[in-house]
Amino acid sequence: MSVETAITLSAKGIAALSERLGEPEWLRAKRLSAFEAYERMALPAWDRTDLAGLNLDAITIYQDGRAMGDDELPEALKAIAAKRGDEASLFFQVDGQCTWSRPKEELAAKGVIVCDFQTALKEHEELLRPHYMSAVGFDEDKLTALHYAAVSSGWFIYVPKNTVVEAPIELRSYGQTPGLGLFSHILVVAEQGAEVTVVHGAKSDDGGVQRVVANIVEICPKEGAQVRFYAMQDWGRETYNYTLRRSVLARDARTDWYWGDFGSRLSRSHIKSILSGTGSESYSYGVFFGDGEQHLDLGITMLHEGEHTASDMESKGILDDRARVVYRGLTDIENGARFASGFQRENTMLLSEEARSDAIPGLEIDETEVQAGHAATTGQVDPVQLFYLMSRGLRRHEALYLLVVGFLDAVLGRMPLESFREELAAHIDGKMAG
Amino acid sequence: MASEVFLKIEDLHVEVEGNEILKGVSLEIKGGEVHALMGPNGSGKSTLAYALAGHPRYEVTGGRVYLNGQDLLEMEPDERARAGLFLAFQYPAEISGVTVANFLRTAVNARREKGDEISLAEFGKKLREQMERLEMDPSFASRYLNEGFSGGEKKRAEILQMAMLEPNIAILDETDSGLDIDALRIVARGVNALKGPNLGILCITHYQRILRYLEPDYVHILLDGRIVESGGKELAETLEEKGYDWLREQIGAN
Repeated sequence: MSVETAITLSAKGIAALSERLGEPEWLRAKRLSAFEAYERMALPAWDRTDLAGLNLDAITIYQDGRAMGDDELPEALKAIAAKRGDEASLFFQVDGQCTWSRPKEELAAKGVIVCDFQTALKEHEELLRPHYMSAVGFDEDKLTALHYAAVSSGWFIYVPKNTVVEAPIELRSYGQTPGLGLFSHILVVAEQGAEVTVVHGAKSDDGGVQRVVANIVEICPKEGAQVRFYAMQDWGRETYNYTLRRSVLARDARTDWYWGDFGSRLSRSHIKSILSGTGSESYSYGVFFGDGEQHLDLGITMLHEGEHTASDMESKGILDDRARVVYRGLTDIENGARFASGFQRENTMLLSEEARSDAIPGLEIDETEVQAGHAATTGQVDPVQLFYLMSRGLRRHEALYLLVVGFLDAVLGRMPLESFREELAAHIDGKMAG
Repeated sequence: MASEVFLKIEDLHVEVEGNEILKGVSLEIKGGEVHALMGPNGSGKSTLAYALAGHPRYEVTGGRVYLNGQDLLEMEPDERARAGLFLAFQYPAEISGVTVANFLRTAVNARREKGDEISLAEFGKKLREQMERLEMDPSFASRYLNEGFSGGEKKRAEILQMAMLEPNIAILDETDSGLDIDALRIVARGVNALKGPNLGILCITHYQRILRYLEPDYVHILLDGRIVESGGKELAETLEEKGYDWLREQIGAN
């Protein structure tokens, strides 16, 4: 990748990017408004999550790429391609623009679209346009503005009416060039009665240089549609990761969020389901594991607007060393959302005295006929359990491993996709061994 | 004689939170022997069990303990276990999310070299055999360790672990308490099946009940942190008949 093809964050750069991508005027206008908002706004002053270390000056936001051969894939992606075989449709992006894919035949046969944004704009603009930016606005804060100003990678997924996609659609974003910012947008549109499972894995080699990531996922399930979205976050240890995942649900629609947060220097990963349609449902089941100096700011909001809406969230995590998690769970039941039910549980296990967990579970209820509840716990490893296991001959690290795996077991058991559970388990093993 | 199984406790003093509970206990257990340790509440029976297992709350302030010639007190709890010590807990911990089978396989493999792990087939066979002997339903293996177990199930699970881990010295800490007579019989039969020249047993109990099944070779009475009387199994019977007060009087008289 030669340096000439790179574009940096500036007014000139954003205009050049729009030019390079050859995008339509409406999108160019959104991009320029977003950059204007980015320049105007200050960095968000989040409670307990400090962005003081983040440097956005003249970061590289784009470099040219091309289709990759099998041999050119980074080892981690090669391994996934080999392991999946034909169990999933695979779509990889390296440094945003280098692409590799191995879709299953069912996609074309069923009229399912999975493509990058440039292709989607050329071939499916009428499908993309009404949904793009429909769940997350361009000026919610400086970093959403940055995303919409700098976005150049990601995927558009479209599942036609009453179509059930059997095999998971597995997307992988990989950052290889140190310092290259990554701004990916994933837009999933599931028409009435459609069903699809999407996996997105994010990983990078940072090479000791700060990387900035600002990703947005928008999921639009129409009436009775079901989308299962699995997200695996394994950014390199220099990455500042800002990721918003959001879904606006129509009547009887369902969005399931499954996630694992393991990587990055600092992450702000927030999920929000807006349950507007009557009878819509959303569930979030996730696992996090922080170590070293990692800071994870995880948020899940279930906003109940419609009647008979249901949500549940369960998050379990491990913290070691001096890692810190700020967990914000919010079940928000609006007036008029009669017969809604919303529950949440959050448990953190600390493996070190210096690790810190701030759980901020919230329950806001403006309706009387509802069922809701929350529970949060944080605690060190139970010395009684540890002694019991060690008294059977397990070394301290073996005993801790069993306790960690046992602690996470309940939430892992809620994730239907086996390959995702296996990947989570491998990350947990990796963290316990490190 | 170097390979002979034995536990040798010499003048052991143990404190808990600054209070001396064991005030010089000496005891020797050889492979093939069953010793019963009896005594009233608060006499220090469980303290001895925990101190031998290496619980951090129990501070050894004097004495020595050797297991098969090795200095036990120098070892961490897990090293003691791998050296051949086993403690059947009176109140085993509940471990959510970890199945009995998964836990036992990890514990069995902790005793083996890397690369020499027990095969799934061999492990499964052994586990099934031992569970049958303890009249445990096969589904037991896939339940979470001790979670939601009844009192009897917990005690059986402890003996199952003992059977799978094949210790040289097993300490049964009130394994009989809370068991009805049927459960007691099953547990005792499970223990008896493991008896052999490579296993010495220290059975800690309040009651003579379990001793009818285990038939101890020696009975020791612990009172106020000291072994005040040792004898054969008839001592347990006398004690059951006459009570600890009789014993106190005897000692006072001496």
